[in-house]
Amino acid sequence: MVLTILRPIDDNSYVFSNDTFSHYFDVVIPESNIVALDVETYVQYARVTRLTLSGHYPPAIKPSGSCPDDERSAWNVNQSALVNFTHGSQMLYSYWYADPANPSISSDIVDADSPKAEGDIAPTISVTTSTRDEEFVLH
Amino acid sequence: MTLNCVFLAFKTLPAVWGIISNGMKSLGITLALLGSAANFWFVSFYLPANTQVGVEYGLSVGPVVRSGGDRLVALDLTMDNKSSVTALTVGSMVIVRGISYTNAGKSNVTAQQREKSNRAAQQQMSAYADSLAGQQSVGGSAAVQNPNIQFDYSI
Repeated sequence: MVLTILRPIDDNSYVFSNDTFSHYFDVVIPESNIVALDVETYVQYARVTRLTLSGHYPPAIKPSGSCPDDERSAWNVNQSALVNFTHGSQMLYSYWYADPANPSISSDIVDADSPKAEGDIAPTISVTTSTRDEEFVLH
Repeated sequence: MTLNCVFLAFKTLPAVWGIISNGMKSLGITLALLGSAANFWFVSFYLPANTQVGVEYGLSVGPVVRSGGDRLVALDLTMDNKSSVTALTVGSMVIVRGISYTNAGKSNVTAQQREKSNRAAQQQMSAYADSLAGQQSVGGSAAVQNPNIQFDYSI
């Protein structure tokens, strides 16, 4: 039973070197037979030496595949280490799908002008996804 | 090590400088400059651009507070960037699920039945231990009994 789905850190935020980010939140447990909490954390990030963003576009609902109400945020790729051989303007799309049955996040680098450059750039920017799954017994 | 090399160079170079040919001097100076430039590029540009981000996560749960029929629990998520590179987050999500057991606290197994089941399991384990301890080596191929494992026959 999903109790909460939230975004702990805003997209396009910096987590500086040797710095700690903290997010404090409350969870309501409505049913008495719940004996433990399962907390999954997903974070996608890239190195600022490979990627910086600018020009945020307002989030919009963009149905895609199995996600009918996928929320998509978009930014222009302002600078990357590969700026020397990029062509046209690249954009980064960040997808937030908060469906209780199958919540997920993802991101894409898109280059409308040059699909070939898009294929070259995305792996080198190397957006990393880290996951944590922890369980806590309630006393 | 570096200090030793510098000290050695300062001690020996003035003594041998006069007998080194001009060509060798030029070559040495050129190599030293190239080495310094390569080191500067490696430390200032290559390493920062290629260092992986290392983020350490922490999650702690506060005390459970009752509010009416609901329970309320506070969670604290921390992200600690342990690397020398700043990380840019492009997406994040926390999903909290409640876990419940079917018929939790409503089991039909009585304490007496549970005790009997535990005793039976213990007896089976003891019998198995006895059978292992009583095994004879056949043709030298049987496993040698581990001297670090002892069976308690008092049960």
